[in-house]
Amino acid sequence: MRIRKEKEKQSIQIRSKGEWKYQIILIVSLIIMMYPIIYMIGTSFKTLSDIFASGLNVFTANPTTANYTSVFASNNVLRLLRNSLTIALIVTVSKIITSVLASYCLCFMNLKHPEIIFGLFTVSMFIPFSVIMIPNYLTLSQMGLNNTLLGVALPQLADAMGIYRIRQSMRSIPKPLIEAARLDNVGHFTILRRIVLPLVKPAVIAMIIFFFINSWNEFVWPMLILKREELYTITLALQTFMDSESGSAWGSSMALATIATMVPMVLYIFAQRKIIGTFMQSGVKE
Amino acid sequence: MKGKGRVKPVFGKTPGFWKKHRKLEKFVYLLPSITIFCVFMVWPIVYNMYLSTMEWNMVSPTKKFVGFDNYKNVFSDPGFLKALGNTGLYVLLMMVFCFVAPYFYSYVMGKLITRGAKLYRALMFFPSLLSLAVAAIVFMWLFNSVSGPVAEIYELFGHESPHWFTTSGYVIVALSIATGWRSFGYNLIVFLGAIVEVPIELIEAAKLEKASNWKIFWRIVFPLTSPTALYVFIITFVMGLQYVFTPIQMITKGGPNMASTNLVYLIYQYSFQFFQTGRAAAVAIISLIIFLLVLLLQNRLNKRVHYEN
Amino acid sequence: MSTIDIEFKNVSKSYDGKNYIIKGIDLLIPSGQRTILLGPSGCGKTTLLRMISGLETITDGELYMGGEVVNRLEPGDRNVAMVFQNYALYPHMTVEKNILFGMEIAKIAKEERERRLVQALDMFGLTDYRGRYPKELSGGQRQRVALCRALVKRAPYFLLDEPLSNLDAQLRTMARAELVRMHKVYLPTFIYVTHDQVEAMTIGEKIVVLNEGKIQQYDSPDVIYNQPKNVFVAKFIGAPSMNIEEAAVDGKNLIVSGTKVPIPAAWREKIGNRTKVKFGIRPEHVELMTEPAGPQVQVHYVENQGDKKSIAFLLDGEIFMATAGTHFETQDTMYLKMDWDRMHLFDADTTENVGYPGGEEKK
Repeated sequence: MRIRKEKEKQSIQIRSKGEWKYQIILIVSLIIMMYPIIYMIGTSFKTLSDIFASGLNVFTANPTTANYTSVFASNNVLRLLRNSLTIALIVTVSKIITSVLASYCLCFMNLKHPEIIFGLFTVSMFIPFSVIMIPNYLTLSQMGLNNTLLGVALPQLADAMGIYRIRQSMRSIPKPLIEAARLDNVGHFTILRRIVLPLVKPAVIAMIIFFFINSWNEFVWPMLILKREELYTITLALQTFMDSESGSAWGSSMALATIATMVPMVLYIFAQRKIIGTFMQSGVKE
Repeated sequence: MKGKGRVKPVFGKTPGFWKKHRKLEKFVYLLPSITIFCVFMVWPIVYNMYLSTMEWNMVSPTKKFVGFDNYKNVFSDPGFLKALGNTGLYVLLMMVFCFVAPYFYSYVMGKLITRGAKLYRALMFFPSLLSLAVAAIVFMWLFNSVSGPVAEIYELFGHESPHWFTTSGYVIVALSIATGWRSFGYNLIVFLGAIVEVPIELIEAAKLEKASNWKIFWRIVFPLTSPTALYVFIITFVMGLQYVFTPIQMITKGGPNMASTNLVYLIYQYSFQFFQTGRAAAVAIISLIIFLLVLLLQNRLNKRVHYEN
Repeated sequence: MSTIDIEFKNVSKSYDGKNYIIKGIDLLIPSGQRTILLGPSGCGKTTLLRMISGLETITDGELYMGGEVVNRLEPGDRNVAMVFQNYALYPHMTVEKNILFGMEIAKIAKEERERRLVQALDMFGLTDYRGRYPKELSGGQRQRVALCRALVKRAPYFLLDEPLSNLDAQLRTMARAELVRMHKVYLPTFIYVTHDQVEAMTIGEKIVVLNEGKIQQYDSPDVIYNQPKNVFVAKFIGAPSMNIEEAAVDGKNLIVSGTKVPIPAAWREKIGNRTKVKFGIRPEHVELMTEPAGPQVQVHYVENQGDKKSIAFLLDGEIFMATAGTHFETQDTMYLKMDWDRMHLFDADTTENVGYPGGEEKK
């Protein structure tokens, strides 16, 4: 114990040589990274004249909620949130169920060649969206799902990234645990529910949040499918502010952007550790 | 037979639907994912190939087979060549912002500092939580040439800010910065995951021998993290192809004069604005081929790479 | 054949269709006995055990349990209880939940579950730990929880896959006694995999010695020790292991490293007309004398085991071991005196033993 502490001390001494240079680089970088977000939030509380006058300063002496009032007046914000939420919930619930089932099957159901099926899933993770965009649009039109929230959700009911991550987490469960249960005549679904899921809970929670945030933030696909304004999600509504660079929409666009960002931010704050932890394990290690 | 608590063995199958249908059971677990993948991933690629040999306006009930005419037309279209060149630029810039930069930062955060790493990584991931649409709108104002913060900085130094979104060249830089800023954090975390696995003893031993941090990176960290580096390289390539679509669509619509159009945006325009679906499909297939070539290259490099196990 | 014997009939196993890790095993494991599968790592002992449990498929041949071919019977239907090498306790369940889980699945009545749980915990002195999680237990406690979990199943087959290999030496001795005690109370068919010969000797009523996917010998511990069937078994059982020397047969004499020994009449017929044999003798049957009594040797090194010492010396350039009660110094010059009645002779080519004059020991 004492030796370990000594060693740690020594190791810190070796590493901390010249650390201040890097700390400065990191702090400056952090300020640059965070500035746009703070700018967005700060500006959303400024009047137009304040915005023009304040230069680089993101804070204002006279905060106003006028931008929010005007956003709520000109947009049905609650409807936007509800549409985003509907899609995100359908997508998240479905993705997590399909990913968990597929990962379990790949890990514990004695497939003949799990690596082939897994490989196909993995490759599909990288297929550029542009290649599947037109056919998927046509498929959904044929199904009559154009201009529906379900149409946005449908192609995303399964997720290769989810299978990749959750499988990775399940692989760390020692096989004998599953074998012990199989000897006790425990069915696969019960093993999944009672043994596997409790053990991969952190990864599952991280993926739930990841799926939700991704779906919430999505822009391109909803843009193609949703043409009627009453179906717009909150990210699509941001588009309406873009046509005039006159500056009149400056504050209110930042207000809507802030509203759109609130949900992912709150989720992140709650599950920061799990999310970072799960993504840190996502490098290629096989 | 002596002994207490002895039970007679019960052989034979205990009843259970899934026991009789083990194959079906596996299938049921995989089915939802496989169905979605086949219908919305595999089939579209095939169908896209088919469409690329057709002349069609997306609404007419008949399609006309034209063979490779769409591909020929695409390659003689200056707009396509412009988009192709722009795509190259986007990918290059994204490589700087989302591959080189996070690699450097993860090395610094993972191995060169002794405190604050957790805080830095938690905060630097923050922009990755935002929608690209939000990033686009925020950077549109940040780069506003009249009174955006960037313009203010130019003014501080007595210069006039360029018109970022209406000047050829600048526009690609600005859009890449917006996209890169939003995607940097994710790749940083993936890199960090690999870099923390590099045994600290190796680095300390090298430091005691007065090796520079630069040298340590190339001699120790890079070889041990290269599988992850290749993974990030690929996803950054995909980002360069498609993530920039959102800011293009939101801010410039491909302008000025196609200066910010990339391949994906071209596909979108061909199909959904000009209704030349065949041509759009041809461009999509070309972008897929480019992507596959990169994957192949990755595979080649991968074989030469030192693996951890 | 009793109704619940286990029988392997020409069973083979291969993963790739080319290399067989189990090569045509024929084996009858009678019920109610403690049978040990013993062998070095990679000999296929764990694979055999997993075949019985149904966790490993069988490539060729048939496995009978209770007179029925069970090749395709699922693990859950075989009525076996198993203790895994790393115990395989569910980390998210308490001791109590770990033990109850299987019974709950088997829909055993609640009072009965509780009764078996309490009894098992009591038997292994774990009553105070029922609310703990596996990570809060010591290695020995975990191992006992794993035993409890397997025990409450009341399965006629009790499979153990190197259950003691993760315990330290002292705990292991205790655990061995506990296992035997447990077996005597419940008397299931007890199949135990180990690479440790001491464990095999102390626990086993019958030992199956395996090497390279084949059965080398299947006998009681005494027979295995006293009449090893071939050189592999002879060397694998016993520590330090048996000395094996090439020996020539010269008419009525056996020539072992230059020493001529007259062959007793009883041995002569066993040797038959062989001219070469492998001669084996256990270190405990070699004495070291200060007066000339046999080949002269120099002590090479000494391994002190406390009560006895293992003395190594070079004989014809090969290490030869003897055990002695007194101490010797390296380089001491000694004379070997072998207990010729306790020698073993093996065929030079097949390495099978040539037989024993007293006849085969009762199996």
